[in-house]
Amino acid sequence: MITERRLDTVDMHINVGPQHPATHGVFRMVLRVDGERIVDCVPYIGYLHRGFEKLAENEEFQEVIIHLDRTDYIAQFNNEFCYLMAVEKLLGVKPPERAEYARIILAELNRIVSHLMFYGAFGGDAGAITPFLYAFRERERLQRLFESVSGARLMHFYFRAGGLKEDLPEGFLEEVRRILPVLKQGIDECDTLLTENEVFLSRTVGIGAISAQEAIDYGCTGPILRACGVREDVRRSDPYSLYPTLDFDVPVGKKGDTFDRYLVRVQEMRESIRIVEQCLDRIPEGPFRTPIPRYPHYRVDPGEVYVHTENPRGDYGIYLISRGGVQPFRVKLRSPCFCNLMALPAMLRDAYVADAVMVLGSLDIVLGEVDR
Amino acid sequence: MADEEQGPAPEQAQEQPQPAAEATAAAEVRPAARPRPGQAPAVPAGQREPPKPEAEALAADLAQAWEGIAFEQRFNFSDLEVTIAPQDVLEACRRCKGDSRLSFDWLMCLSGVDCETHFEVVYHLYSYRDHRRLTIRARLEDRDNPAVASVVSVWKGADWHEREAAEMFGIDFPGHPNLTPLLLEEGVEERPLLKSQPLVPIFADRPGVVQQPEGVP
Amino acid sequence: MIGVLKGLVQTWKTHWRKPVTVQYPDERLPLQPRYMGFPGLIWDQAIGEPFCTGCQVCMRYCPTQCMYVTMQDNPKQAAGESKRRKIVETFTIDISRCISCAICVEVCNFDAIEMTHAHERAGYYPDVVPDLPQLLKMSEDFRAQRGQKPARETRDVL
Repeated sequence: MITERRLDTVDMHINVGPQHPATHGVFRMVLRVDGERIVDCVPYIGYLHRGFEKLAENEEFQEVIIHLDRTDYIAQFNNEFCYLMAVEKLLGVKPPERAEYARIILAELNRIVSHLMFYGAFGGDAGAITPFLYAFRERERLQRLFESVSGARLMHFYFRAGGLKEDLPEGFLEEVRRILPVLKQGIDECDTLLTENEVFLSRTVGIGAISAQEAIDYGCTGPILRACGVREDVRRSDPYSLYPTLDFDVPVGKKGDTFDRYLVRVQEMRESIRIVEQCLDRIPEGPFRTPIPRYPHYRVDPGEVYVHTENPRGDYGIYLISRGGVQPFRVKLRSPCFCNLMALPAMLRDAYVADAVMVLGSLDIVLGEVDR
Repeated sequence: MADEEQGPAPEQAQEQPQPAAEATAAAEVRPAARPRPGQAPAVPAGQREPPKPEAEALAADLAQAWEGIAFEQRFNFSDLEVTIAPQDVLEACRRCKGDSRLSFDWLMCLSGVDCETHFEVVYHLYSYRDHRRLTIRARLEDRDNPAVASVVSVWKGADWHEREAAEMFGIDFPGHPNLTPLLLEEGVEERPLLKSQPLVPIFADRPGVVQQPEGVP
Repeated sequence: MIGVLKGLVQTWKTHWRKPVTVQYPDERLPLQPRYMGFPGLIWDQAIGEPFCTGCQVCMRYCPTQCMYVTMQDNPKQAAGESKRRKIVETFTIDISRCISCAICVEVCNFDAIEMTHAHERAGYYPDVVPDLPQLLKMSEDFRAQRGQKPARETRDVL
């Protein structure tokens, strides 16, 4: 006869990271597990803290851009875009139309690059190596375009207050036009490879769900929030630059789970291609930079401004205070991953240990931006 | 590059006097950055754009919803910005989120600022319902023991922002559930983002190579 | 099951595509004309001295502080051959610290420094710190590679 005996159990702590391929950088989390279920999760960040905000206070407005490239090192053009809008607001200059369109084209292509990076890494998290190779094949096309524009593959340092560093290279727009259909096809291939795959679906659907209310409360933005069904995109709701004139949809998910986050990003890539196509038709010839007195050591009027833009990872905000002079007084960076990561314990509650990696991967964190 | 490049121009020598402190942020008109002889004084940067109609409507709503809370308001880049005392912060934020006229459900950003004479904690709020923005600025006059009530009970997203401000500036947030260091390593006593904290230059520590002379920033 | 099969068909199709990768040390993908490698110093062929006057502005703006520059009186100016009163004496760049951001090119008042295509510079420590002659040679090699004349006329190209 079997009698049930109560076993005394203790919660176990599992440490993941900081040096772990599934943490996408140097990130550490301590999971408290009860059997296979996660009871609690404590994230630890700061391993990549470089003191961006302190460095920025001690450098000229122009030089800060160099450090911004290194915060979110997968979406550099988007970071520069946001910061320079803040500087331009304080300077009171407007970039010429050609520069605006060039910025949007590059930022949207950078969004595709970033989402492809997510796609590859997320496939890897789920145990599939092939998507990584497909994503990087497509990504490489765009990286070469970026190299032809800015001279660097990653740390571009290309946008300047009042416009661009130099004009777009000859034949760049034709090259983009030529690449877009190829890219579209590549994204479709990526889509067929993973989106309907039953193994992938079983690892993502219904995992790490978070309600819209909770996501807003935690300050989640970008694909995380849109996956919860909130149709919220800074490009639409608080429009900047020339986005109001462009036609694009904001894809949203339904359940706010890991799969919806993935799907939102894949659809966003297609929307970005739409935006780039429109920009290519409209981009005019003309100057690429508004002259600013004493460029590149320009002085910025005293004042303060908060600018936020839609980065691939969410709402990227810059709070810039100037007291007049060549150096900023304070630069606060509101990084989207930093805020999205705060919701990780809520997402992981009651999930299985094996899903922790998937949920973390679906957040698409870049630790350079979390730690600054 | 060559067209705007002026090199070390002679007028760069005249340094702008830095505004020492911003008293009453609402009414103060700070000196413009580039006053040229014979030119009308420039408009402060934040006043160049007229206030948005939403921001004006928000100001009216705020006056009703924030009854009993003293605040100064101004428009900065067409958005509303209010300055309040630190003891009112928690109540003001509660009403901002809970009051149906305001319903600011998203704390966009929370930043600490070291203004040399005092500290400021700046809350950037956003309402998903009405798509409007509000900036709340709390002035912490007590420089030795800066403290402002934590708003984690209002928005959970304030958690890490407050921890960051606490370790970077030494601002205390009473009511925060876990005010431990976030980004810095354990045992760091300095408050890195204070203006009194110098940025230590990196020198080449390898012998014989690229030694920086003294006085180079 | 169908989703998995669709994926397999996709990989089977890709199997017949031409590879996009190259065998790196034997083959190299071409660099873009604007590619930014490590900085080099431009030689003024008309006079026979570097454009650089050693004003140290690049050193001040370098975010990683990887440069060290000193200035001296130009002996050629005394002889009446050159208009530059000051000239660079030593110029070292620790390229193990250089991040190729090109701020030095941007702040240079004399257009004396440029980003070359040199990027395969891994080595042991003293080798990764080129001095003035090596920096001048880097730029000269770069210009020879691109078929540009290392002369004054090419200045405005950059």
